Amino acid sequence: MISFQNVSKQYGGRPAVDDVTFDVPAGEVCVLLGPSGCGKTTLLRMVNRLIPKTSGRILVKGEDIDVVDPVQLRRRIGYVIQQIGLFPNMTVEENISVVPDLLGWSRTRSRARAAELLELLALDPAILSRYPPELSGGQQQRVGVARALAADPPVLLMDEPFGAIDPVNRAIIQDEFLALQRRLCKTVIFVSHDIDEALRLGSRIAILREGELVQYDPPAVLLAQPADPFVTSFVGNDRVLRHLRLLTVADALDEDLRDTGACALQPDKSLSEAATLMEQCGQTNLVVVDKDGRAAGLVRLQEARRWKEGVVRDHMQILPDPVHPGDDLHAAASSMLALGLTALPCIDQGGRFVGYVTPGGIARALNRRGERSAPLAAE
Amino acid sequence: MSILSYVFHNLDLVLRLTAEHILLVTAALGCAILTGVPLGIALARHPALAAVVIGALGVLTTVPSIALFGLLLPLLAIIGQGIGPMPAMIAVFLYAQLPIVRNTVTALNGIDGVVREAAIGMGMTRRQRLRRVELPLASSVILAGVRTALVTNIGVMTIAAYIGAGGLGVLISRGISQSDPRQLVTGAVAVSLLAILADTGVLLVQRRLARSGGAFTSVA
Repeated sequence: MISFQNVSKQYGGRPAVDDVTFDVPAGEVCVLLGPSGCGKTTLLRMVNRLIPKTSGRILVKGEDIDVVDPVQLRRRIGYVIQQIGLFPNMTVEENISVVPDLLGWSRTRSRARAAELLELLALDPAILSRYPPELSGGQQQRVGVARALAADPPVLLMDEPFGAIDPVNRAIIQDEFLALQRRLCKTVIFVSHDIDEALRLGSRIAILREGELVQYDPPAVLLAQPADPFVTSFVGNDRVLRHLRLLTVADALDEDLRDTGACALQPDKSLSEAATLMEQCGQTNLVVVDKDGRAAGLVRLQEARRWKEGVVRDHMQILPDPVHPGDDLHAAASSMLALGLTALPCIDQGGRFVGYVTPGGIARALNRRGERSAPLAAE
Repeated sequence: MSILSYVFHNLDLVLRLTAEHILLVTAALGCAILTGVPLGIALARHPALAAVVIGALGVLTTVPSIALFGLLLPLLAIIGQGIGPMPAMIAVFLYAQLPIVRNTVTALNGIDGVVREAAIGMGMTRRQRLRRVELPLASSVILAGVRTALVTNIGVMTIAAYIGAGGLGVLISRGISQSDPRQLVTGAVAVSLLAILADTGVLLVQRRLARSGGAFTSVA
């Protein structure tokens, strides 16, 4: 959909962008990532010709952007910038309708589209008649996105669009962006300096350093197989933990223990039975299930050995925040560490015990996604 | 008291002179806006040139009006316009350039670069940008410049009575030459009232423009 072919930009002697070549398939979010001065914003602004390139070609939908009139090109590309840039002399409705008006849409059609976009972006329709200074930062940012989407362009260019928002709201708006992208399937080039944002939002990440493209891969591959020491250090020493954010609990359910009947116990069983079972399974904790297979609690090996004569029911711990197969593996791993469990029970929506998340299961999940032959984590 | 009776008995004269005064100033100022604003738009993109031009206009403004008339009269006499409204209107036109051009340049350059970048990035041509974004945002400050020019030149046009331009200055000049305080005071008060009304009127328009979302809302 968007193709960069040997694109370069020189300022005086120094190349800001140096011979960059890669493709962005339709419907994907390509994140341009790198330290400041790496050329990511320059590269982005060459796509809508705000910055003229020195050499190379950029193709959008197979068409060389140099062949098209720049004004026409820009009307077909949505552009969202960090400082938003809403026009203060226009109402929200007028702001959103700018490109449709430039393209000659009828008033009715423009207004209808504005209302539609507000709904899409979860904005109160009452703001249509307000002016930008009257809106909150988050509202302004969403209106900026609505304005970029108004004429339904196939391509979106976003230059650190969520940079000016506080971290709490940033996570929320990132989630909204993901939901929006699933619905609209735009081809997006997104500039960011935040590795976590890139991992979250990118279908593919292009890491740039001093104008050069260092690596261009999906997030999981980037984390598992960084191309050089620069990428490794940029991604961070905690890349394994970051990688967990890309996985779900379902990916890590331990295969050995998946036969759920084997390592679960009913409340009326004795503690000595519990201890024996745990030793057999090689675990230090066990889930307690009722006759329908629903998880009722947890019993620890230490407790079982101490109170040999007791019944499981009297010595079980309530299950901590239940973990479901669709949950973020990073959060599940945090729970495991916090609670000191080597086998975190996972339950389905109905409360039935499904399996355990174990360190071995996590390591296997990491290896599988990273497509490496050697294991990532030490056994 | 005698002043009021003078006004009452010569109302048609006073009103005619007032109308003349307004007409002269408005016509000259109208031309000044038609040349000054486009000049300001052009200069806004060339700061070095803008500094030179505005500097020159500044020097022009320091020339006292009587001196300027003194320069213009012989020049215009060549084409038979030495006496009458023409020299006065040209002088007002020249004096009005500085506040209008300078305010236009300042207002346009004061627009947040982000807004301009967004406008270009969305696919507006330069004309569309000016018409839809930049001029509306600059309008409040440009109008402040027009206001300054208007008020100052209502005064300048008073002196123009001495070179046959007409207007309320006629009452003042006659009042002086005939030692008639009634005409003098009538003329002077009328000019002041006119200036105050003009100032207030334009100020109200300026405030309305600023309120409807103009970013540059300072009212000078």
